Amino acid sequence: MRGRILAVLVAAAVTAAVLPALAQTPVTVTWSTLATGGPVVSDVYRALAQQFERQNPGVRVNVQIQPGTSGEQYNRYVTLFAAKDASVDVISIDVIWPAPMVAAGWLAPLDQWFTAGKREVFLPGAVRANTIGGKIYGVPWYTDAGLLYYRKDLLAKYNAKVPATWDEMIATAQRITESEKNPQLAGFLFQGAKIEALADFFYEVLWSSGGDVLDPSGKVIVDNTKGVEAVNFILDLVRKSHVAPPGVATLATDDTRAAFQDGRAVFLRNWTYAYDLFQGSGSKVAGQVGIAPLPKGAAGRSASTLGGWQLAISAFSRNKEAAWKFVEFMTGRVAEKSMALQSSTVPTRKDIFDDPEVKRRAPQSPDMLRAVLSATPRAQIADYPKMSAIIQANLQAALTNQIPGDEAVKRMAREIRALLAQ
Amino acid sequence: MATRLGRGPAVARTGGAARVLQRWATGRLTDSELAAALLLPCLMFLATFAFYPILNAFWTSVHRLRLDQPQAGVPFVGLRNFARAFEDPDAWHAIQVTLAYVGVTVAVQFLLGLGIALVINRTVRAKGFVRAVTLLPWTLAPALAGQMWRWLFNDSAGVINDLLHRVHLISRPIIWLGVPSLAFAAVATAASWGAASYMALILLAGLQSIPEDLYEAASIDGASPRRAFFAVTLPLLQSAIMVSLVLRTLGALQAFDIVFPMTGGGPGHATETFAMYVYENTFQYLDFGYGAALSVILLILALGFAGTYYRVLAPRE
Repeated sequence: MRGRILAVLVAAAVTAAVLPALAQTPVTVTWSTLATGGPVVSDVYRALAQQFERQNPGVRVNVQIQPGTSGEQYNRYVTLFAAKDASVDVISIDVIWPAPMVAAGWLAPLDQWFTAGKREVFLPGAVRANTIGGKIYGVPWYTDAGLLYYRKDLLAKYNAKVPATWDEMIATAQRITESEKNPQLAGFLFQGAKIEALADFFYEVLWSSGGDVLDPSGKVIVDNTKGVEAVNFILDLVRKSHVAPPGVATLATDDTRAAFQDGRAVFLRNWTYAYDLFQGSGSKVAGQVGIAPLPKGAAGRSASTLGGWQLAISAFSRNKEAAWKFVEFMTGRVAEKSMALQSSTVPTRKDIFDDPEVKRRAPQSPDMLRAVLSATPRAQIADYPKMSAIIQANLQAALTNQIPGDEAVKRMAREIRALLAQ
Repeated sequence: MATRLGRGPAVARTGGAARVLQRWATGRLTDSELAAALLLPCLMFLATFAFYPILNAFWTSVHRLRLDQPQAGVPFVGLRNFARAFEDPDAWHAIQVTLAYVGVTVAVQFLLGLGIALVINRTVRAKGFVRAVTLLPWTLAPALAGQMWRWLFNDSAGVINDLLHRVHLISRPIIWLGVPSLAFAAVATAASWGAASYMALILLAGLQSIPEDLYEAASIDGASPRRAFFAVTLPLLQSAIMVSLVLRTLGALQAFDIVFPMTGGGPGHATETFAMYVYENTFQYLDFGYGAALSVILLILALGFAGTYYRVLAPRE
């Protein structure tokens, strides 16, 4: 009898000791992300998060998908992190955010996990974009770059080859639009509205001629001859060669995408996302669209602005270890491949481009890879948002005939110098 | 100053909070105490969502608070943010744009609104329908309206250019949103379209409160309809005019929601209103101290306008 009671007591004691461990709730990682592309993309993200949970029984993922634009998402994070809010562990960040966010102390360094060896699998430009002051703060998740889209059918009709230089692009665009005699058909479209993409196009022209806004030491050099030439080149697209319509100054990214998709341009500068839409149903140019790196400038090089998104861990996260596991999964082979196939994003892992299935089902990816490989990150300075706004406003003022091109460059340089206190 | 509404004895108010509570528990509050108790939740709401943010904005405006430089702390800088605003050409430009915007849109809205109100006031048939249709533009969220007008004014795909082209008024598309003066006109048009109906509604309420016999008396005295308008309608409409002007002016001073989706402040800075400049500095550049100083300036401007209207237009007894 006594033995039995003892046995029961021991069993009870053991149960009491073990139960809490069993009942322990798994760690929850909250991931906040923007989903450009709507419900289709959100579903892909959710399915991946579930797959991660199955592989990691101790970790749960709370996926918070937000609508809107990159800029709106940035403002949302500003309020969140300004309040030192710990409710979000992993965030998706735009490629231009690491510098301001690291300066504000909002991102956790990932060096202990994202070691130099692990970085080698990723595209070097994308890794550089996440490196601030020698430390790394984000893992490239999917990448992007400015591309030249062209109409295969029109080029074939006029026996023209894909332009390798800006001059060739202008000549070909002029030849085709003049022969087509369609007032609706523009030679070349870029984003002329006062948005980030206008600054990006300016960098692309500037870099392709060997210039830059800041030199490697961070000094403002945009007001040298190359800067003036770049602005005048953009203005001449509208005024001198007339390959771009005057209304280009009002076109935002998706407006140019829609116009091209409607068959209203021979060439277009846009990001990789447009490709799938051009090939999709309802597109007047389906099957007729080719992609190439942006044309070369005076320096003999093609330059493209590096875009793309990264996964980063909040400095305020209380579950950094589990958060890292999730980041590693989402930027791993399985996740990146599935995103490349299902939502046509450009992977950041080099090995995915060689994957036979990706090659078969996403035939555009090698071309996109070529563009991404030559892509250059924008200046990694904490004041980037303001610097970009200065560039956008002055460039657009010139594009809309408010100031001459050289004046735009002068003002740009003066305002950026004041901003960076040089 | 506390009003006693009747049954409460004056001595009751000499009691401390504990006694008030006790009387509250036994249901023997004076009327003024009851009124205060009933107002309390409302006052707390106002304090939390109106007074606190305003006070906080004042506090922030005299500090340096840059969210992207947390290590710099939040030092007191006195009026330095305000001094910076006075030397900031972009801020001055934004004020000029805003004042022009207020002037043009409020004037157009007022004239349109008065016209609409006079017409509706006369139309007897289908009054409810006409009123509902008139009010529709106002019910559309301004941000959506901005988006809609952006497309109407689009140079290549917009309806406006298409119409002008069809009636042979133009041969090549006008780039409405890419030319500073045209962009300003486009934005003002969109804003006036949205708010004229709101003006009309307030003015209509005023019109309907004017007793009919005043007009009868005027016509017996031999006044022409024109004379009756200036001698009867306008003077009696004065409070409605003041209210509508104050509300629309304050609305236009804070213009953001229509302009932002239409032009983003462009081309260049041509349509950048002061409210947009505040937003830009605060949420894009994370310069909260400067942004707060700018918003205090906007508040002072708004108070100035409201005060001026009150002085000029408030009906004298």
